[in-house]
Amino acid sequence: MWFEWKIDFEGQKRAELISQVGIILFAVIGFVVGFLLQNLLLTFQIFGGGIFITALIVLPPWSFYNQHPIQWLPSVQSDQDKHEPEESDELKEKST
Amino acid sequence: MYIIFRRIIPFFTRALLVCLFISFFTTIFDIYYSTKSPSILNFKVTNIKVWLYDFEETEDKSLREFAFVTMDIDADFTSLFTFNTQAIFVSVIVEYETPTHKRNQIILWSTTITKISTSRIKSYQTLNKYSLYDITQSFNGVNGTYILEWNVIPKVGMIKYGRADSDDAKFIYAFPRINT
Repeated sequence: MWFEWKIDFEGQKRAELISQVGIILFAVIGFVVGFLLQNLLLTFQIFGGGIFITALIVLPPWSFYNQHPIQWLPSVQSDQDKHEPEESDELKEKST
Repeated sequence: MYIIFRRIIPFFTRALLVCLFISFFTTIFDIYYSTKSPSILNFKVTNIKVWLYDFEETEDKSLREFAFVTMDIDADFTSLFTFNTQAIFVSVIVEYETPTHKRNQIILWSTTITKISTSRIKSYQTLNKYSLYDITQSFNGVNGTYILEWNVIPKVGMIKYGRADSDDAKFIYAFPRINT
């Protein structure tokens, strides 16, 4: 489904790392700037803007998250497909 | 984390937790500044008068002593204002002890400071804003201690309390008796 926005496993590692670093970095920058300028509103404005930017980077499925697509194994033919025509042949032989 | 729905929820949960840590650190860094004392603190009681009035809400309509206190207040609260302060609530209380009731505290006058530009308070010869009467019918001439106190209300964190407790900032004055 296109609206599921899938990413592969290597991409998940990258997304988690970027989200952790981004959140903590913007929190520290916001607190330091707000403390030096003595303005608490500025701290939370910087933090909110930083969260928005990090969400833009992490949440949508950009192409650098899909660099290692999952290698699915080839599908295996089950034995039932081979047995079915043999059973119907046996039934046809008995009925006639 | 492979679809959008499983990425949004941990992301915003972590953001909320870090927001909580920011609030915690602003409170921690603010404790030193809000426990300071105001730089100028002059408080004087110049006159007390006691009159007898009747209090309309009682059934027996007996007369009761009402006290009128004239005060001079001069204080500077600019050193208590930090980036985490929302308001400072300043009040004047009187404390006294009677034989029947051990601790009595009555608030006489209050004001709220919200901006740092108005943090210098000057009020000369003000009467008490709120009425001053005892729970029994009269004061009986006890000694009352008049103290200036303040509450610092922060944007994030705990409310801090302070009062002018040094001997030169308190004021002890006895309630005058009525000669009947």
